[in-house]
Amino acid sequence: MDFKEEQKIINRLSILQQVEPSPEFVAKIAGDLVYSLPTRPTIKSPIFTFGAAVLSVLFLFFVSGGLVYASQNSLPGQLLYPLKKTLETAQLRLASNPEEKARLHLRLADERLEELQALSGKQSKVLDKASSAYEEEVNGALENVNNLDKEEIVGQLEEKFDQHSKVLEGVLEQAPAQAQSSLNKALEASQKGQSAAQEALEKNPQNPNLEEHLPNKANPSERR
Amino acid sequence: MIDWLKSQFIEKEQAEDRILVEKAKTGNRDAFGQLYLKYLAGIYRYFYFRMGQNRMQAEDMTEQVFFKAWSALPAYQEKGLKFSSWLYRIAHNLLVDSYRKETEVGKLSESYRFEDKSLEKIVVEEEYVVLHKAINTLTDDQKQIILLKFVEGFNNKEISDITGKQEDSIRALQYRALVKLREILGKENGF
Repeated sequence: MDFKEEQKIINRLSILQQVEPSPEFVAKIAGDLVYSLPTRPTIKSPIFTFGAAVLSVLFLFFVSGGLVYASQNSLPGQLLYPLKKTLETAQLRLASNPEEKARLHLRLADERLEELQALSGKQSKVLDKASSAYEEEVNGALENVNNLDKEEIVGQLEEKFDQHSKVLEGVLEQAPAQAQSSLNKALEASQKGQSAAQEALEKNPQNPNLEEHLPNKANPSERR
Repeated sequence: MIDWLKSQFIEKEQAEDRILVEKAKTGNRDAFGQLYLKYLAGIYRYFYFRMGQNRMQAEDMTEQVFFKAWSALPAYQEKGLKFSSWLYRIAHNLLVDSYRKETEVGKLSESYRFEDKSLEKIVVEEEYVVLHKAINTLTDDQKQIILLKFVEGFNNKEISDITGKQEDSIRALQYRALVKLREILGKENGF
């Protein structure tokens, strides 16, 4: 059989494509039967399940990471502030030695001071809490001040609390009357901290470099 | 150029099918409905010509394929098997199960009777009757290959996927079927 003959037959067969189901049957399938199909639970492939798990972890990671990040800028009385405090407490618990703990309290005292500055114009109740929180960090930093082996950290405490006192004096000058009491409490705490650190440096007989950590010790007025 | 356009069209069709299949797999009945309607006429024809041109039986079998495909769809994976081939494979398996129950060759179905018999339609109807007779002289295997290849447009690989026959065997069946059809149609038409 040649190609032409074959094509002729094939062309004739194409007429059979005109055989179609009745419109009623098509309508039955498209209408009633589609909606009578039994529902079935969605089958998720292992890849999908794994993908969903990865996405969930990433989502939690980014959301929780985002919350942690956002909480770092929160102030006392704000929604995320408890999260910030919880994280700080956890950090303190992880501190392995007195020096590390003192450094951490010192950094947190910096943080509390910034909060006090931000809240200095706010209502006295919140400011009073912030002032107490600052005092706690100062006390925490001084807790083992007499037993600290490294004079470097004691020197840092003295210097830092001195700076804090100056900052608080400046804030006090501009603060409204209702904030004065709370800010004074914080100022007293910073001064107490500075004195305690200075005293520790002076008492340490085994520290040959003690004097180096007291900037301008010969002339205390120049240090301020 | 024509081959390129044809392949582009097939790719587009397959891409559309993939989208609908994925939706249907998740339980979307509308997507499945759309998908099935696309192949409904072909599935119907497949049964119609293989079951003695019996319209009722063809409809009944087409309906069964519809429900079977819905329940089996979550397990369907493309992996070289087009959705249309998968659907025809279900039809083929159903036919194998029920084939022996129905061997009667039916008369010209109502579905191919024209109410408004224009000259053109009369010619088509006569041509159909001639072809109908010719096709019925073929063996069942030959008939299956001829219908899948020249009426539904599947290639040998796809026919192999549907029927489970080797491609060499498909080529041989096709050749013998065409030779037979030439003899029958030549007698009818004098060519």
